[in-house]
Amino acid sequence: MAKAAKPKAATKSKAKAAAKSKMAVKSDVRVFSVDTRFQKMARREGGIPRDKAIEQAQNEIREVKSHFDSWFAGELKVFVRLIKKVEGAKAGKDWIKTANFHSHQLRDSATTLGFELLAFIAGSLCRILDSRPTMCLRGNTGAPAFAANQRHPLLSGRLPLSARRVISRVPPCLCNDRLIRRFGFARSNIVTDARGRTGPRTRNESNCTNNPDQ
Amino acid sequence: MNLRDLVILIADPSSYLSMLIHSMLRGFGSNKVLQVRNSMGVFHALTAQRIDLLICDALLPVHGGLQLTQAIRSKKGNEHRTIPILMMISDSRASTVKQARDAGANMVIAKPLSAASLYDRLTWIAFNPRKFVDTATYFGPDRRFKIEGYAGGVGRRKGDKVTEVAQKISPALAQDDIDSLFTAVRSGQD
Repeated sequence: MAKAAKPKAATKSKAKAAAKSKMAVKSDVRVFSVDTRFQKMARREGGIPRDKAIEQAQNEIREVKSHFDSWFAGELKVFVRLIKKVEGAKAGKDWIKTANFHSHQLRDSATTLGFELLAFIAGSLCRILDSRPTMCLRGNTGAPAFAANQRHPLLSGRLPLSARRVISRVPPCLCNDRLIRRFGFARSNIVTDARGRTGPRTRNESNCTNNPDQ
Repeated sequence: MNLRDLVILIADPSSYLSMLIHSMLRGFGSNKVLQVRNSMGVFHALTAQRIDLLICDALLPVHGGLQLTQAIRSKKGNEHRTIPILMMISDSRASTVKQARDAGANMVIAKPLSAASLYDRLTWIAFNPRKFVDTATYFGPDRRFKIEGYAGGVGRRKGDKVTEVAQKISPALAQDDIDSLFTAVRSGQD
């Protein structure tokens, strides 16, 4: 009995201590109002009404638009240089970070300025780069070479069969010779699975009926 | 909203995007805007002069906007500890927004920005001030935007009152009543 009572007492004291510490933490909490200078000043009278402010801002943006071409040319140069480096296997480990940064910049500025096509292209590039490490598509930037360089397990055909539901063939524009040589398969033997991952077609997939190309 | 004579600091690694935000703020009537490209620049600006609002990118080099916000909020005795911070994020996933909120940002805005969204966020910060909470693990604006009841009906704070939320039984109006309202409006009646 005495043995059983001891642990009970110990747990009680522990619970008490925990409650005490909780109380201490609660008493340390401070909630207070702050009226910052921004809030005071922004609430002054004489401000610009919303509609007028937005219209003025859009006019200002239109003026900045004139600098866009030169900035865009600079961004493209950065991209071209980066792609060359990656294709030549000279790029650093953080090349994807750099590419992501520039593609986001392009998307954000193009969207704000209303360049819809550029925003769409840059947005697609952002999505592709964001979806790495499963990325193995290139669009028009030579990314299959990147993908092949990455040596990702998904690319080496080690994907479990259950996950390899074939949806469609990889479009020819997304394959390059290097990728094909690496796997030693014909282009039509490289497939994407349900998650958009690419790899060589396995025997089971050759008989797969949900492939629209078969 | 009157932004005249307020010192606004834009911290964004992209010079062109900074210029775009600057031009928007000019349109809103702001006349004192500073720009920096990294977190070190933010610290320099904060020590050199009084800043009234910080518009900061979440991926700001070197430390990142979230860490920068945490650093500003956590430093005791820092006169800029309660500065309003508007965090710009490139991906608007719930987890990223939560991280920004937990770091102590007053408001989050998703990139790409539009003039309207930026104006609305600034108005929100100016006209809907929230109390500050100082705990052992967090310092920043109250992370509760609205209270829709607590788990088990009891809040975790001393000041939380027991909320009684009525059980939802059925729609307040029957479908026929709703339809008749719409037909009345369509036919031009009140």
